[in-house]
Amino acid sequence: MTKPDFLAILRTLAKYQVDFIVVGGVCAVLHGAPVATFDLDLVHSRAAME
Amino acid sequence: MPRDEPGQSDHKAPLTRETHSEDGVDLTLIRWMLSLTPGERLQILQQTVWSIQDLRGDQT
Repeated sequence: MTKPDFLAILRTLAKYQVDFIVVGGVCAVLHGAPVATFDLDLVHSRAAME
Repeated sequence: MPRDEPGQSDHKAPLTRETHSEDGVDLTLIRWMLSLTPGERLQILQQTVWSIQDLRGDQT
């Protein structure tokens, strides 16, 4: 099992200006919840792209 | 209704912080997480996950 690199994933998405929000366990952690999660749940923007 | 004597209201009990909620939630852990920035919280999560994977002996 590869080690998840949440920071690298988020940096890459930000680098390419992808519109998204973080949901799920990682979202809870970002808000201060002391929980563990092994996956990064994202929801991308469904707005029409130019 | 009795009034406070002068200076009586100045004598306040020292603030004490509870360590656990009534249902057993560790409040010190939550306070510590809230003292960190979101980036730091993510770093902590990542290190925790990697540590768990190492303990499990997960193959990379």
